[in-house]
Amino acid sequence: MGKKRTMTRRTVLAGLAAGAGVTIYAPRLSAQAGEIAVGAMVPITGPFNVSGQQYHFSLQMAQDEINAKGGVAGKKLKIVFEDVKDSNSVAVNAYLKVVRDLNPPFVFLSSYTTQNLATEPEVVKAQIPGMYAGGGDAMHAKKNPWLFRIRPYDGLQALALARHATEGLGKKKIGILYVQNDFGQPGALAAEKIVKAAGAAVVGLEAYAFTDNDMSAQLQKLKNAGADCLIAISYGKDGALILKLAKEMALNLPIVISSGVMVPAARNLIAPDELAGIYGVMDAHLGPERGAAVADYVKRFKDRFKIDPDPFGSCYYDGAMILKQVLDKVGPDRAKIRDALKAVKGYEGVTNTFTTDADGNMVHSLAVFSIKPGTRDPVFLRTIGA
Amino acid sequence: MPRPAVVASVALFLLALLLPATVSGYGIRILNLAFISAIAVIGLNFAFGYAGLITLAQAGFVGCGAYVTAILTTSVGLSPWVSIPIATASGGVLAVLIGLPILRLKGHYLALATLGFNVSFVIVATNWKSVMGGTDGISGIPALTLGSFSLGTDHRYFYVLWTALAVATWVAWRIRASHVGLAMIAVRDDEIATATSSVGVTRIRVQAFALSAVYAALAGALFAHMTNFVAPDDFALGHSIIYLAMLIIGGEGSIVGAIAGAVIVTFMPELLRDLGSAYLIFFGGLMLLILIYLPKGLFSVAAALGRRLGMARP
Amino acid sequence: MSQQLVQLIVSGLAVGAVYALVGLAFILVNEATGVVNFATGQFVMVGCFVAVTTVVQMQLPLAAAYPLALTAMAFFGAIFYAIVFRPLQDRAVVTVIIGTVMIGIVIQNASLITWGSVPFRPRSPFGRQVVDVFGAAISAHALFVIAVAFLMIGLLYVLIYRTSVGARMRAVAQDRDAARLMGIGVDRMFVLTWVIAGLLTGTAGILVGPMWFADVNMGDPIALKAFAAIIIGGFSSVPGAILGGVLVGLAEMLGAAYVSSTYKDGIVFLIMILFLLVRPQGIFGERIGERA
Repeated sequence: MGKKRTMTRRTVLAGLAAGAGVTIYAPRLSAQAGEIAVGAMVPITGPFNVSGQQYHFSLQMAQDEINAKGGVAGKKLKIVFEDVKDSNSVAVNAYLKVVRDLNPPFVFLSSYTTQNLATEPEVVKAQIPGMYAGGGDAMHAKKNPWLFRIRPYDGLQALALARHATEGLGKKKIGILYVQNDFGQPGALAAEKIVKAAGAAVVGLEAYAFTDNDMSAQLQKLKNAGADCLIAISYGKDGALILKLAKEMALNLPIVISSGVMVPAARNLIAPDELAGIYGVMDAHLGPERGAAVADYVKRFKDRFKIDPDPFGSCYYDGAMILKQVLDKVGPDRAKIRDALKAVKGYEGVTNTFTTDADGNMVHSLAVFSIKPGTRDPVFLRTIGA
Repeated sequence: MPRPAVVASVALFLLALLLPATVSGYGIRILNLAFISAIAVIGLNFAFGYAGLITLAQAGFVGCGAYVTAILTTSVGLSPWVSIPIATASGGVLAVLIGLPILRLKGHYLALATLGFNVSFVIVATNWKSVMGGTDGISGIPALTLGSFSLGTDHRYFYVLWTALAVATWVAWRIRASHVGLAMIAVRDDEIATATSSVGVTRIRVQAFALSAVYAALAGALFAHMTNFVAPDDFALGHSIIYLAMLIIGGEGSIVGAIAGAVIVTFMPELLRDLGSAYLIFFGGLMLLILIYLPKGLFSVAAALGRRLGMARP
Repeated sequence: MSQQLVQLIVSGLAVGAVYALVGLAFILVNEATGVVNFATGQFVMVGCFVAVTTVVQMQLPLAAAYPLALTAMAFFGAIFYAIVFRPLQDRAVVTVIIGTVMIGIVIQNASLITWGSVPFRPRSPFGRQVVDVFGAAISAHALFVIAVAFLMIGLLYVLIYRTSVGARMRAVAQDRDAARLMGIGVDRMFVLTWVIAGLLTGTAGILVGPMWFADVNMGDPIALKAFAAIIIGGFSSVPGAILGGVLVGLAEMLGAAYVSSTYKDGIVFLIMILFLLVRPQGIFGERIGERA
């Protein structure tokens, strides 16, 4: 028995050693001749995989459509996806793997700001242009010349929330409820400033933790402080909880809420009467009123993946199409791609109009929606821009 | 540890110096991360492996070192060569402050108290925006330089980490052989006998805890200067569990085992990339099997194997 | 103002009742089998999602869906006994702690693959009815949560202290070997303990689903608060778990309202650490039971 066991253990150890050797030495990613390979950092598995799936799908669709029409700069476009899960260090490792194994001319970064902040020092070293979707203002504050944001930044969202509450709804006493992290906290402070600048008062700023399940204390406090309108800066599930509680507690205040709760997965958690009196902002409006091109995009997406596209993921489709134009024009040269991306002006995508500013932000407006009474369907109200 | 094993370990360690010359860009980064974890796990071995303290706070102390050096180099403007020793020491100071009261606790009480510390560390780091940067973290942490020669690339930083790990290992070895190390093991093996002087027991436990935190803080400081960015995410409770897992896989109570465990667990996600979303199921299951069937870790297997091979040869 | 207080207290009681149930499952297992189960939070999550399967996915009437979900959780407890508890039962405290943490990771990720990361909202037996309590609008489900939690706790109390099975369970908890010599089926008592733990956490899971939504990451935050609750109440005491749970629930709500919503979790953990330092046996605990 002893002998046999040692043999298996030896095999196990040898296997481990061999495996370690293989991972150290063998690059697993490679680009073929006749291909231009670019990287994409996507949360494929783990708790962020719902938003990651949209991102993944829209890039797959863009890649196949581009290749069906002859590829980029005379070559096939290959998007190499790496899983960034829900962790900063995994995201940095994924980026380094793509950069060092593949040496790509371009990389799509994550849709989560902290992951991008963690990756940013490596972008500085690698000098590879990239597009990202995380909204955190801390990211463009870095003024990294290689990075371009393809969706509205959080400050813009805060501006839209605050403008709609004050100028749009004419409210004077605003209560702000926000998730306590890099997304909610700066958003709340930015919204506070804009509310005050619009001549209205902020009667309270209340936080809750991302994992909280009951925000009734915070809601009650804002109501008692005399708020006539609430601004909520939240993600999907927590936003749904806020709307459910507000209805239960009969707050009867209009609530202007950030985009996380407007995606179908989150809206489906909320009953139609809980959505009454709610205004939500979204990165973009993908409704049929936007015209035939957008309607066709939505149809193609739905035919292929059997789910509706959301604006968070669809911005990567636009990003890939912009990249195609750039690659066709300047080829796979990093500095030239960067300069061409800097010069993007008035590109009409499915989500938005893209014009690069000095901070690398390409999108400058978002859409405000109300909810059609008795349903969960958003009704487009207006666009708010910087 | 038998002499041939020591020789083999030292030889392997020296051989590692050749790795940067042959390994591609990505592999070296993972090696660097493995070396940083190894330092934290050697530290954990003092508290857990020797003194038997169940601590779920190691990631908190790694975070302490990382944040102290991050703040000192960015806001205060100190040189990393000055801030890293300060950061390392600060881990020890924090551990003494926390350890003096909580190390009177035992078993799962201590586990929960240290867990509470780690959770609280993340809450403070997330909310104390003016100093610790909130979830946006702290960026712009400088890389190490020697005069005007930057050590910022992964290949160069490898040698910094190799040196740090070599020194950390050597110091750990010396402590293990000293009366301090023996006292720690005595506390673990026979608490009742040593408890005759209960003041002494708490002192030894605090020493082990502080040593473990010093190693953790050094690892954190070295991490911060490699990634140039720190955020609470890297120091959450889950990482404390990973450090414990590294020590258990390698073999608690063994310095070489601690290093081996850190290297294996750091490389495991790379090896098992194809498992995708099933990876953590596999990892948890594997850990459970190791706990049940190899309670002394893989290193015990390697040692047994070494003995067998030694016997087989004349 | 007083209406606000009522609102906060009832919400705090509902939250606290859930913590008390989970804390009780934790204490029961620890007392009866000597295992500190760090996967307790994942038990709650699984309970919640089993109810999602029976209520939402299978569209069963609640009268069938809830018993079916609880039966499944009883089996879950028994399976946990067989594949996790038995191999680990006589190991050191630390091995058990790490082992249950690891199995928790396995359970959570297996659930992520099984049920996905999109949250569900199972319906409540009371729909979305709201009740007026002293002028405060309280959801009927929150009152239901409080009632069921205390009913379960009462049933458990009767089982442990008023039945012969309970007497045998207590005998095993006090001295395993003596109990065996007295002819008590120790292993059978262990299985029973894990089945009850499955039922308690399953109930907690069923209750929280309509209130907090079902989400595969929900387990650990609930377990952390339940740990805090039993440390404050007393690690080996049934009334302690109840009082601890209610105190933590109230501290969360009142802390957020009157102290700081930013640091309310910090307040709970600070109280927990203070208790660990000053009175580690908790409010009701009689001894610091270090079991190896």
